[in-house]
Amino acid sequence: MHEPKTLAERMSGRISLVEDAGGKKTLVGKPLRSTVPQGRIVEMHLPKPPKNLIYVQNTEIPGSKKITLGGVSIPILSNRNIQWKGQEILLAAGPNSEELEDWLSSVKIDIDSRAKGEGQRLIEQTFEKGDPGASFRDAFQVVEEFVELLPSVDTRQFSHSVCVRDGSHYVMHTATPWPGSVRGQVANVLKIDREQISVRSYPVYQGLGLNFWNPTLEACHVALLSQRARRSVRFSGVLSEAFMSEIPGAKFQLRAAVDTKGRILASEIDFTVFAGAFLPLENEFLQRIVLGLFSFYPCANYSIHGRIARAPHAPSSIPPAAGFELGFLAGETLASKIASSSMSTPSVWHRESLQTIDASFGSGISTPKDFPILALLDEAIEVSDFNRKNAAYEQIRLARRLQKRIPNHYGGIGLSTAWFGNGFLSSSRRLNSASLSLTLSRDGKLEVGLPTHKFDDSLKEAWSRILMNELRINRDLITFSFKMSIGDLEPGPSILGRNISIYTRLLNLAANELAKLRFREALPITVTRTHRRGGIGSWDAKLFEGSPFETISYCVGIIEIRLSTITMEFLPVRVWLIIDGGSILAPKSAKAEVEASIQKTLRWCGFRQERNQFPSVNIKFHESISKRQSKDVSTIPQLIIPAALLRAVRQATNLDVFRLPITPDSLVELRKHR
Amino acid sequence: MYQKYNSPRVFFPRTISETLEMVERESNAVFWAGGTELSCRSMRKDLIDLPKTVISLCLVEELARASRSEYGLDIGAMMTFERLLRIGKSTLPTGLHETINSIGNLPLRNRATIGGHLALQTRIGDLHPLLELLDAKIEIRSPSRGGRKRSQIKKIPIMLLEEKNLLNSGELISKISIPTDNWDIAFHRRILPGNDENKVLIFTALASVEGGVLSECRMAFSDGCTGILRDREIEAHMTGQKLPLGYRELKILDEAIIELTAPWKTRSYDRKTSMACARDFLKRIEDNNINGMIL
Amino acid sequence: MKISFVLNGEPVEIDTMPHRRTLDLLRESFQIRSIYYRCNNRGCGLCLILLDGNPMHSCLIPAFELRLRDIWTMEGISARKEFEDLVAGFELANAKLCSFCAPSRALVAEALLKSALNPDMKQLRFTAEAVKCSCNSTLRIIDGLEKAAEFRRERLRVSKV
Repeated sequence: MHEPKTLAERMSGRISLVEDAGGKKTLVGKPLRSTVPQGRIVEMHLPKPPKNLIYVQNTEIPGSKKITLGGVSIPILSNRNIQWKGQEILLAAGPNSEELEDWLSSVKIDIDSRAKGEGQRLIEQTFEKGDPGASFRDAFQVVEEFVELLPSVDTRQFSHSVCVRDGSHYVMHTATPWPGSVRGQVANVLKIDREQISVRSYPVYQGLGLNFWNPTLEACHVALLSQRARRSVRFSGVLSEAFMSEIPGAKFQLRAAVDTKGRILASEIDFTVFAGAFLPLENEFLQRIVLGLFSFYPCANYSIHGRIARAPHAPSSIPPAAGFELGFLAGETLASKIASSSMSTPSVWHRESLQTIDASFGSGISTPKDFPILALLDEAIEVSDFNRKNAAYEQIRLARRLQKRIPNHYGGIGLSTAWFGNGFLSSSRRLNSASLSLTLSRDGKLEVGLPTHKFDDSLKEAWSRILMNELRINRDLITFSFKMSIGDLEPGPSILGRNISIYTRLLNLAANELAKLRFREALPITVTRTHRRGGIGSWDAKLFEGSPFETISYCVGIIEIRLSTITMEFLPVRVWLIIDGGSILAPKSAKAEVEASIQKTLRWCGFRQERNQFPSVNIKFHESISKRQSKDVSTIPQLIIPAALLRAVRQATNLDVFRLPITPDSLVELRKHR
Repeated sequence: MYQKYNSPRVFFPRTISETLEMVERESNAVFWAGGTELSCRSMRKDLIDLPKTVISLCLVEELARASRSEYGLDIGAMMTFERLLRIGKSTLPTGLHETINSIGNLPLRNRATIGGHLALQTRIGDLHPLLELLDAKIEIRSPSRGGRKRSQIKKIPIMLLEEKNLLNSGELISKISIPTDNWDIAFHRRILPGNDENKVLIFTALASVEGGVLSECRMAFSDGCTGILRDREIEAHMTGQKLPLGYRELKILDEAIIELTAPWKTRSYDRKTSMACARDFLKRIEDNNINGMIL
Repeated sequence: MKISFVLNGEPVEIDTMPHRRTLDLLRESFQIRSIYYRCNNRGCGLCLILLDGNPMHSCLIPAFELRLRDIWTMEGISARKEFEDLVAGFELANAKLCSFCAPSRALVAEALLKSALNPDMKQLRFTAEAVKCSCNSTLRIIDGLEKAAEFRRERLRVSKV
């Protein structure tokens, strides 16, 4: 048990990361990876290993040969079929890394790369409702749109896992957003009792995407080597770029039937997600894309055909909103096109479309009593002076041919709306489980046991304030510690806003209970609260109707850009985000998180921030919501910015820009083909 | 203890002549300045791939000095970029301060040396076009060979550097001399056209204006890998032109750039942007818009 | 190869291979834990050390370059009183640095404040961009640096008085 480190401790480097675990006698482990993307292993010749060097092949795995994460099964080691470039074929460990590398490089593998192996499964799903065909026949106009998002890779991917062996007990040191998956998976693979395994979780690097398959897979690898060697084993190093996991890209072909008032009567959408050999949470991912495609706009008739194409490279990482990013990008871009086709200003079109929302929005999601989107929209339009700016930029765009001299810059402004569901759509117990414990000891100390590291100092402070108010306890007596699991079930991953929404609620519940018990029972008292997913009954996963999430965050965002006519580089000038994040526990910290997220998203969209001015950011948290729930706000910019930016760049370039990230050469290419 | 790799031999000369003596003895030795290029290319985890023999120049003080001479500014090859920046914008030749600031980031500039930057084997450094436009010369020292007692010193224009394979020849860049011609305007633009961070487009230009007449103008284009493109004829044509340039002159300039950038014929962005940058540069001089320029 | 240098104010000596990365040398032989290798030599800046007062990537420096040099890491810097200025500055700016970039951010901040007590925007920007980590926006980091500079100026003013 330990308290997550303070800023001073982090800044002084007094914090141990995974690579610091294990003693001097820990063996160095390394996998032998496939250098070809697909093929069949015909023969493998293993030279005699030096003394003290051990290895593990697929056939020697005592238990399960696969890990199951978020609905997909990923092989621990390649059997005979190679499924992706960089897939682990063999594991080895020894006391000396050079000797180990030497031995691994002497392993000869004959691979028939013509053999296609098991083949890549294509996942397809169709979502239909009403009669889109009839609506298209009766439509006043049909609006078409095409959007493409290229896959992206975070080049900072590393492998760090340590298995410390203590007799028959294994201590897994790992850095993953889902430490809860490690214990069960390792136990299955080693075919041992879960009680023999404990997990020590470390901070996770906040990259572009979430990768929870690789840490779990690696944990299984080091545990296998450790079991064989009867010693502690460590994996340490930076992954070669050729083997890195990508965030999936996607292509969307969208059509909407629109009536005379610009209302959407029906839509036909076909999309493909380009993933690696596996995409964890693939069903969740597909469904979230579909929810995002609707955004807020009700559509009674639709036919959506989505598929995940899997390519033979490393299993994919998932973006922070697990598919919403892609869906909102396409859905809101279509909405912008409809707005401009209906000859009204985007703000008017958005307002009119949102005004019609009554009992449900999007695909049929139940509208809360205090549905804030119109208020957010009005505020965003007002603070950004959107209507005036949009009119000015439109006028310049339309009069471009009459201009005698090209200015150095053209401007553009884009508006977008989004909502974010905190938690999972899936009702899987494994994904949704969460627990929290409060232990009040005899000396008056209160220990908060959490199965996650992913909460920062300010959230910790906010939670401390809740406890101080509820239990009248001094801040110095409150400590936070990492507790893996409470009961049988390991907690689900700390992603998709679960930390803030679910753990805050659990903390409140546990504090209430403890307040009642502390004067009735003898100390020490431990109160545990576990999360059970609510609202499943009210969600129709087939028709996409009801309440898919326990809490939903809402946002309206506007971005203003400048586009250089000389280099075709775009420069975001101002960003406005009006967010309903419920009760914001630590406003300053939340603002900092949103800012960081904006910067990350802009980079994802192609903005090179180095030596450019960072846009002036105006973030406002809307606080008129009667039901005081805490919701995630940090993921919102990833849903808002891309579509708004695409709209702004279209206005500035007068081109139908359809691809993200936006690069200067792609704009020139587009202009050439206009 | 198992040890696969042999340690390289590292020499630490203290003077240039000692360095040249060493390189004469060790013909396969490679000079080590800031080491950013060699270290970045190293694929191994805990060791940096080094040649068998390395001559570290970090103790050669003669190489780490900058001084004013009648010719202009002499910069020792071991001057790091950050140290150069500390000399001050007003003392440095026109445009040098801004261009250096656009290279890498602070920790990298603390290590990278101007000599190492010019000796890059895999690409053309960002500073290269500017130094070429500034008529900078490089002093190269070679060890005594073929019975000669003294080492050779020669000064070559920077554009000849591309033809040399310094790393293998045992020749040492000792100094970069930049004349003190006072340019009114310098302009440097570094653009990343696509997603690949290794593909760049660099536009560098210098100009002097007298009484509304372009008294001198120089421009260079580089993609960071295939070479530096420069057309002296068009530079000569523009000299003496009254500002603002007329339609005909601008057209001649466009045509010259199209011809100049013919080696990039498959890269329409680079060609179009080169033209746009050149026009923008001239327009800025006309407008007296000095944003991003040094006057 | 025997290499002597000064590490966090203490003279040290080690027999090692000359082409060993300084990062590994410091981590493994001197238990310096404030530097991390997290990129393929792409300059992420999580391994920064001060070499003769200048921030540099320890993953790009071979051991032989350490000869007779003065090296500081956050282990040494954080033992000084002035370290509090950095923490207070970033805390006040709400820049909750993550575990990975926090030491390097503090290190470059210290290098900046050593050279400029009133850093200009360019210096602040270069310092903020020396470390590539997405846990905070550049604006937030610049704000943290400015506030740290304020605390440092105040400290020096008080100590002068």
